[in-house]
Amino acid sequence: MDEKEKLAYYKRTGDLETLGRLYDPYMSLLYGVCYKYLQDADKSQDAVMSIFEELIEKLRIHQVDNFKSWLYVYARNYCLMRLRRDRKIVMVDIEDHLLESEQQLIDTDFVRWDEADFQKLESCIETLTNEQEQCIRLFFLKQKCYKDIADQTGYTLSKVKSYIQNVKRNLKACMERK
Amino acid sequence: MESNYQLSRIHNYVTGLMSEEEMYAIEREALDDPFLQDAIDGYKLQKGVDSRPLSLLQQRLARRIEEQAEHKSRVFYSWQRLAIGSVAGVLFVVVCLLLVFNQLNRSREVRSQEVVLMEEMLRVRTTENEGNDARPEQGWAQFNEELNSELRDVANGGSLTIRFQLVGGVVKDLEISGDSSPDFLETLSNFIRHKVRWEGTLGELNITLNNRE
Repeated sequence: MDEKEKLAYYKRTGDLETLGRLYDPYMSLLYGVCYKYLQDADKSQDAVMSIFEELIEKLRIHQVDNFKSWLYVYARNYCLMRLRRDRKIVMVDIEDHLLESEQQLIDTDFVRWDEADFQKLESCIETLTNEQEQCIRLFFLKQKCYKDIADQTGYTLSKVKSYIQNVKRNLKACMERK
Repeated sequence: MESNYQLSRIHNYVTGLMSEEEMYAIEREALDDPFLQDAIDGYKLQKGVDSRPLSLLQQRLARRIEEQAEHKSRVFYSWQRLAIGSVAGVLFVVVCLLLVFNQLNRSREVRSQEVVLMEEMLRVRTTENEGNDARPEQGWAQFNEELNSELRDVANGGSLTIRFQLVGGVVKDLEISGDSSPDFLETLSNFIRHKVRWEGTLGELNITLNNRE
């Protein structure tokens, strides 16, 4: 059974073993996600198990097409709710948390570009700051990793990562506007 | 396994054990996969992948699934016991009643009373044939009693094989075969079609009516 068939089978039967087989491959990634927000090993483990408990009911009600994206969004919301409930205010960069799951789905649709698209991209790149332009050219054109870009430009690793993530999103929006 | 491979990639990335090309590849992948990016950020905060909490999680998940299976079988067995106990109780009461009636019958020599008692005796017996999954909502015991009552005026019995389909609880394609009196056949057909609320999809039954003594 592939993932979609397992989802449908679980929705129909409520067989916990099937849900376990569906959930198991994502547990290590989920633990990492929970650790990012909760920053505690025990709390992160409990969160992974609590999310599983909640899925037992949710997946029998909701129609889920892309389990991985859905699970990620569900887990992240769970952790943020948990932090809110514990009255622990966490500052997250809104840029880093905007539309990511939707993006993932859209990004899978590859479209062949023509000359006009490349010209549009060039004109969008011109709107970026020097730091942003430098980082994305090194990353996307020279295929340098974040560490090399940080070494070469003198920016911190987190700045490099943030520039690249934000610019990717801004360029996409710019391309769609033009 | 794919998840183990991904985990070891994350570990190597976070602990700086990757070549520049491998680092670029995982960064490029994470840029399109926020799930992976958040997991990398989490493991970076934890300073690498620690296998202990992950193996504990695997155990907890396995235990949770096992618990459900045990609970299911516990519920099944307790229902099974309850059902067996109930059937035994009902049979005991029926046997006691029969013995009491029998005793009363023997002690009185009035013929008319004998006739009344005979009419109340269960003359109908229903057996489920292979493939049958039809079941009356009120249960087989009640089914037999009601059919017995419907057939009180039919003197000659017989044995009939019945086959029908159930579509949304409605009887379709009813076929009745076997030796019996027309009264028995007609009453039975009417009873099965209109007086029983069925569950299931296919009826394969054998109904025997003893002759009235």
